[in-house]
Amino acid sequence: MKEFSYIIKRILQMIPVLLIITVIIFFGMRLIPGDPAVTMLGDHATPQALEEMRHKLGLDQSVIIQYFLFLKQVITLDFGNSITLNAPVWQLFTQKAAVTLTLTIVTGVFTLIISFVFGYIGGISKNKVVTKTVDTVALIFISVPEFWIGILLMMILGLNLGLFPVGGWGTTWPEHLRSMILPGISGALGTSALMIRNIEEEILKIRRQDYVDFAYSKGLKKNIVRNRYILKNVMVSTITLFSMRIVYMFAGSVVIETVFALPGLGSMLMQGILARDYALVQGLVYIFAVIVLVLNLLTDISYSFINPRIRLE
Amino acid sequence: MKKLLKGMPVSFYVGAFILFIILLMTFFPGLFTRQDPYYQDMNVLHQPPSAEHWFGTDDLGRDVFSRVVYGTRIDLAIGIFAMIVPAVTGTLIGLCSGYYGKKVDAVLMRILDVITAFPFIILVIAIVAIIGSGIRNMFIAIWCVGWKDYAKLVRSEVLAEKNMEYVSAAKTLGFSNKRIMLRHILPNVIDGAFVYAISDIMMCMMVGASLSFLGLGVSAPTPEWGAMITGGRPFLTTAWWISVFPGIVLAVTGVAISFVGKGVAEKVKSK
Amino acid sequence: MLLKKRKWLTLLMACVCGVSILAGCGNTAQPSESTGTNQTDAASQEGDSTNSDNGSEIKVVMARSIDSSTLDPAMASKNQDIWMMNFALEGLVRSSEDGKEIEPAVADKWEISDDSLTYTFHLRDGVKFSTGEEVTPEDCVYSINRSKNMEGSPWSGMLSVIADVKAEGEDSVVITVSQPTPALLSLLAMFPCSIMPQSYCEEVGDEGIANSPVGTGPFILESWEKNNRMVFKKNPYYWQEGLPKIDEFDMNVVSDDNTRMMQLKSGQIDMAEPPLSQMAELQNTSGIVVDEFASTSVDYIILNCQNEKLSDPRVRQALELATDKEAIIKAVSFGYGTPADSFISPSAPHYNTNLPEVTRDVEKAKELMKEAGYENGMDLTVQIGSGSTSSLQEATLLKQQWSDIGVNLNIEQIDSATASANWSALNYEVYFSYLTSDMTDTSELAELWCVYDSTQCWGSGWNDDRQKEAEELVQKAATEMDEEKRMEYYCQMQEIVAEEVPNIPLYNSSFYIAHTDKISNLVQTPLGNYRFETLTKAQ
Repeated sequence: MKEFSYIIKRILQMIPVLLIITVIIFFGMRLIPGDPAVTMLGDHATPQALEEMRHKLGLDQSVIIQYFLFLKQVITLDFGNSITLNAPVWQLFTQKAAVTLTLTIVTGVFTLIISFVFGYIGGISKNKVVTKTVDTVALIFISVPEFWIGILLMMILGLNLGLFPVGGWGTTWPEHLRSMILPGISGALGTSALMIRNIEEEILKIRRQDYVDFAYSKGLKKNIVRNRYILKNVMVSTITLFSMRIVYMFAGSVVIETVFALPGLGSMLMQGILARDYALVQGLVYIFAVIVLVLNLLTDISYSFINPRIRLE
Repeated sequence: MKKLLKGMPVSFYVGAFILFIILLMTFFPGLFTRQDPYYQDMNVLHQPPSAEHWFGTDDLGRDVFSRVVYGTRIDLAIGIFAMIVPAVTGTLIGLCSGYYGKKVDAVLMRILDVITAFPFIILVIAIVAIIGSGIRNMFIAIWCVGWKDYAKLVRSEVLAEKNMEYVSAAKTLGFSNKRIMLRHILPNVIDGAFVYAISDIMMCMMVGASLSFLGLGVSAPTPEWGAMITGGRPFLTTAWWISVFPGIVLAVTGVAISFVGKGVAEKVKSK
Repeated sequence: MLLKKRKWLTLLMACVCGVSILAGCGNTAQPSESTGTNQTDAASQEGDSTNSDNGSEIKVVMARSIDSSTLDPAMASKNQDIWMMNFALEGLVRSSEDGKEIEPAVADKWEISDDSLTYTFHLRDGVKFSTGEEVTPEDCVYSINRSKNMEGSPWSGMLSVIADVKAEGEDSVVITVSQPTPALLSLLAMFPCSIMPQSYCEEVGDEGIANSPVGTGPFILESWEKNNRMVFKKNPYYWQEGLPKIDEFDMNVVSDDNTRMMQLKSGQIDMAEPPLSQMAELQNTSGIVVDEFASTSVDYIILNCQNEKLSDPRVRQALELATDKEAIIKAVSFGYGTPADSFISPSAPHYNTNLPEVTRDVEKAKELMKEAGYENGMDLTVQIGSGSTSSLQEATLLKQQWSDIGVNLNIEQIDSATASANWSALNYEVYFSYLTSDMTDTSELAELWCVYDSTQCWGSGWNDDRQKEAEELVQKAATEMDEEKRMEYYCQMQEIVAEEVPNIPLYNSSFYIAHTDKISNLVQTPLGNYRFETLTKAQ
């Protein structure tokens, strides 16, 4: 019940935030210099053609009215038409969402695999050299921009060795998944590195605690102690960190999708920004913001279930 | 200072040494190279690394090593300036928010919610798109967004600290709120923000490089590592050094900062 | 608008200008020359072996940096739209592959009345849309009128010379113009006059046409996922037998230049738009060929003739003399371009081959400055769009070059939309721009540059006696049916512009397509349209 009312409260809190976001997006977009009608028709258009196009786009109305039109659109999930792609923004979103979603999931899976394997090795090992090596490699991965890792992977594994496609998304699901491997790894390394360090620290902390010793002293097998106690406890804090990083991975799609020529939301947003495509950018940024808010909410809520010791504030 | 340095792990010293070299490059690039980072020598395009050109030459015959050396100025400046403003403002905001609580807190935290709703890189890209690309605008963009982590961090610490005895003691003594916040609470909550700031330098450098990659950051002839990495990409298969060396230097700098940061963090924690 | 120059070639008039042109581009192929004419022969020779029946479909994939916005021929305005127009669509007539002549397309013959006001086109026997329906004269009337009357179309103004279009009998279309219009055939060859089936267009509406136009072209647009891929299939009803020679053509969007080139090198795609910065690299890559196609594009520096300092033609001449065009080409387009001497490209008809070549001459420039009363130099400001590296480079070079004659050029970086607005409002001093022609005729560019009221002489504000002279020549040429006299008028006009220097023509450039060595016989016209029906891919 307490969880329930907490969730309700959080959702209610989201409403003013969402409203403010619409204001920021709308007026932010007006600050972008340039006339969308000119963008659409090019330098050659006659003044009359421009006038007609402005009318068609609703740009001849007052800003306030335009804002309320935008608000109405947002509520009805109708974000207008992209100028450059000449299609409804919502339709474009649904078309591209699969790519970005797949990318985020694949990146997430790689992150979990890499971080748990190496974090576990680094944390559990009694050999200092192993731990230090894992640490240092992790630090390097945090310190290298992901686009750079992506470029190198694409060149070595894609172009030179031909193991993976050089960017692109393919046409069938097996192709889609295969084309996600390199982008997934590139996006995963940075976050993995953070998580490896976190997991190591958690494992060290737990190893020092009494109940592990106690378990040992009860004569439980070493592996069982590890599995039952350590992993379970490590899981809690790591998943929390991971869920916070999902937002980051999602946003990182802008860069990764550009490097790997993936036709997803991120690369579309990037092109929309460069082409001053008002409707596309404001629609996408709004959808992104909502997704992030929801993800944050889920993260907060999941705290209470994963770890009841954390108080709902 | 001595006390601070005592008992640091070896990695701290390694990191500090590398950073020292990099700082030297920043202030005295002439110690490291005599070549002009902008000088184009059309007779030596795409030369592999040699005694004369340690890191080879690029597609316009410029010496990659001297460009990397002069690039430290820009990249370090990006890292430090992009970090420092949000660190200060974010800390102050977190301090006020946590200390005053109630309405101030509610308003500031809603602003924070709003900013948090926009993923960092996307917000920075959008701001740069609005106000134009270039180094200055990149700073403005990062400043607008970067403070939120500091505010969050400091606020939570202030909340814990606020109920400590020394605070109520100061209040009874009639000290002003400003004085209590800055003189009494701040020193006790700053450690976390400080540790975060060190790794933030690296993150800002990363964002700067990514913006250059997307064509929104530092523009062409300026020697900046991210722009050099991007500029060398077409030649990766034939002249890898143009792009790989700036990448390695960027990574080494990042690792050095991380080593130093880790050492400081452990020190702070054990204090 | 299009292209960049470089292929000399002769035009209608046998202007032979074989000089300079091929400067920097070593081993590029010149594919357009040999193909073209003997399509049917070629088809019968190769068609059977490479093509079809036995199930192995030939698919060619190309990648470019940006997707089209619209494929509606009435609305297409950007290169990425215009270049795709000839896949599915064709007009009554079309431009030849070298962009200099008019060839039959949907109509196979036509007559022009003695007063040059009435054109009668006869539709090709049995010519069909890709839906299998026969093309009727009514479809032609509908299509041309649709573009002409389309609200907000950038082309409706140009089409206004067409007074009337009507169907006559089973297979004829009669077009009347209000005054003799030598450019009419060129106009009809332009994409806004593409022929589409009326019933289909009315059924799907403007949105439908923009996303999936149907016509008589060699390909059918089968699907288009925005910002990702267009899939074209062979049109089985195409009137040129044996063409196209491939079964499927995919046009992908890969915005990152380097990724696109890596895909090409890895063989993942067959063709790609190459970035100029990588041309040298690509030409040295085995298995990759870069084809070069003449373009009508010219890059200029526009000078505001209404600015006090720049209103003196001597100052403008001095600035041109102080400009080192070669150095700018080298820095800005990596050497891929040739210095321009006219605002009209050598690949366009009516290019004046006799214009004096302007080479850098600082002494003479200084003299002119002195005569004009500026021996102490002057300050000028160029506004460039922030974020454009090449404009910045161009401006930086120019600053250095012009400083030799005492001109201090301030570089002001503002957002490109504002810069462009300032330029059209004549609120600037120096501005960079470029133009390409959209038709196989000179009238469009001539009008933009010399008729004050149309675009204030392309934003230069040039408006004096000599401009009047040029404007008059342009207007005479627009209605002169005698090709020789037209040529005369246009040549005189170019001389006037070259003397008065409302713009400094910088360089002409070409179109390039990089592809694997399996691909051959591709064409891009000087107007930019891709013509891939003759394209072949070795297995």
